Amino acid sequence: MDLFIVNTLSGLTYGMLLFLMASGLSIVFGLMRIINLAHGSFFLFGSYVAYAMVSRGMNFWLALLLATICVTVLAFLLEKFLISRFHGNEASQVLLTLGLIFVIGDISLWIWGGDFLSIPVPSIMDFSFAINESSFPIYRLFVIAIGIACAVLLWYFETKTKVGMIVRAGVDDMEMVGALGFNIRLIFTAVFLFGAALAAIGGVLSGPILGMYPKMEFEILVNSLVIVLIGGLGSWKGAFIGAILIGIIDSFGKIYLPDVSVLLIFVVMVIVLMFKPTGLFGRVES
Amino acid sequence: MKKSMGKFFQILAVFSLLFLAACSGSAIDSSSNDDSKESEGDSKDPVKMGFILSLTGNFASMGTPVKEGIELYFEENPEIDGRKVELFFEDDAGDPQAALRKYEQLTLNQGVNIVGGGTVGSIALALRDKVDTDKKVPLINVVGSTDVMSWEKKSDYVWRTSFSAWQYASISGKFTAEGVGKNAVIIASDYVAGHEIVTDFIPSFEEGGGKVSEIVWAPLGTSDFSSYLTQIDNSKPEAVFMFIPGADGSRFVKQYQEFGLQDKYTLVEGGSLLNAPFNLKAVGNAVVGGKMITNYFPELENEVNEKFVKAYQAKFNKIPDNYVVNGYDTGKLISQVVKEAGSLDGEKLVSVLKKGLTIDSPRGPIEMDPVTHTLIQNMYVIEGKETNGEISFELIKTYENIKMPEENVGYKKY
Repeated sequence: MDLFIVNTLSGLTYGMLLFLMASGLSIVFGLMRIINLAHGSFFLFGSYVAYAMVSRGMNFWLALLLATICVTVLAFLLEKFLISRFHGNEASQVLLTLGLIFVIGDISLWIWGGDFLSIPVPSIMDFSFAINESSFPIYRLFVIAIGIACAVLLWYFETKTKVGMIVRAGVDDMEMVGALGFNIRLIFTAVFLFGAALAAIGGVLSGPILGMYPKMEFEILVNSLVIVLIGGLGSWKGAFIGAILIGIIDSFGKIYLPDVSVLLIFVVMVIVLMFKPTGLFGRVES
Repeated sequence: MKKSMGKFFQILAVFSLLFLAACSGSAIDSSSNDDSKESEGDSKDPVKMGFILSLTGNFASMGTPVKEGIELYFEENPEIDGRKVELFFEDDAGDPQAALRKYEQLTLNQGVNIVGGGTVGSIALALRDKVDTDKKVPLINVVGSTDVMSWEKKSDYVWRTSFSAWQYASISGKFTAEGVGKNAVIIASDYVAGHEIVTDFIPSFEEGGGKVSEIVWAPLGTSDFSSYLTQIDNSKPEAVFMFIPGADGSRFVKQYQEFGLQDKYTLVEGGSLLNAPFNLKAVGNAVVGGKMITNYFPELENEVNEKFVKAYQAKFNKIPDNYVVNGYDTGKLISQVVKEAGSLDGEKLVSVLKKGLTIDSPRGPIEMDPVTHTLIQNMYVIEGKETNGEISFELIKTYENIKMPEENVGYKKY
């Protein structure tokens, strides 16, 4: 029983980190039709920046805030000067953002080197709580809480606020929203930055758990793409459910099916798409 | 939406391929370091040495310190018996094929007299086969720990200055049974060296009365070990024996602490990874209480080591690990061999090695075994301690003069 609880919690922790990454990816795609592969770089870059600050003695929470701002600024520059130029041209966008991953990855390698780095767990959370005879780090529980809080926040925005309404309308018909007098460019940019900020938060939070190392962004990105496909494009709800699913499968797969655990998430993806080709929460376009 | 879904799929597929391609890594880098000065009117030919090391990629954290050790030795001893020393360093980026290309380059274009290399087992074996067929220049294997290099794959032309899996693992097994507990769980990285270490660990552990209740294989590149940790916790062992190299290992030890296992089950580490300065920085006090089996640690008390640590610190401004010592001893061994042979002829060099010789290493005096081509050396068990926030290692047991068995012992393979 302990084993079951601890594993479920571990799976949820990983799932929530993936959710922070995948939700941005999914929303940005839904609204802008941009497959921003550089989203993975936002995740990794965020954690590297936070590492740089924490290792110089800065408070973890302040580093989290500053790293998120840093990544948002970076995302703003990329969106304004590069990505927006290729609006509507998907192939160019994919190549561009793919190139950006390598560039940002190499810059990180150049600054921080190829060693495995990690951010220390913030001292107020550096303890574990007991589940019968097993224990579970409190920090991971906090990560789960943040993930759920973000999901609630997204739900609130989407259903209760005017901004959310505009974005929802935009996913359905961007031109119409523009015709109604809303500034599409501004909405695009805001959503893009919001997604980047979520990825950066995920990256910083993963610093004490997964650590940072070159090419990590690819690992996390592949999993996030799978989640977006399972959940359905453009839906943060799908990303939420998909991320929990993948997290749990990963966690239990390692124990019960160790030989195929790496493939397992792709198997699940195939099965889901066989029965629901649009993903769990994807809608069929008329 | 359906159309974009299809596009998305294509992208995922292309992307996955690209990712795989990026992972496999290729050797574009090559660094040549020619320290030679034109020798004018010198009667003796210079000694040319070529080193093929993994200086970039996954295994750079092992290849780079070896290079530093070699550089340090030849900076202290720029001449061997009146001969100038010329060093060539080539990067194989962890790829055996690249290592073979570099070997051709070094022997054909540079005309080196001695080759060193083999940062990982697969590269050591690839180079070994080539050197053994060519029978031109001796190869000094600097890290590759695979046992077969001392047994079936032994070659007159190949000698090892590092250690073998058997030396580490059998002592780990012996110590765990004697000094920690009879009930152990093993967690090892799922690759060749991991399987070899487990194969060598179990018989010696069982001989001491121990029983392995579970073996957990973690893929290379695992970042989150939580599932494995709960599995270990579930079988409640007395000892946890780990062999997880590189960055994975640091992550594991950190998470071992976070999940509260550090105080419950004694961690035994059998690859001397954790006392390496780079790992130590990453794991901090998670090593406290952990036992590590190693052939070298910087606090070792002997005259050669004191001088060595000081010189290394002065040059590189950090604490040496056992890979630096491998490199340093490689330099020492080569010097001694060339001096005794009085020639640069491959056959003559090999005949000196076959007589067996002793090196005054920072590890203490060590002997090159002419039978197994692997050093006969002490194995130390050290324990992580914390005093006033400083992490240090304390020697708790020494196993003296550990010699490889002369032939394959034929353990059951895991």
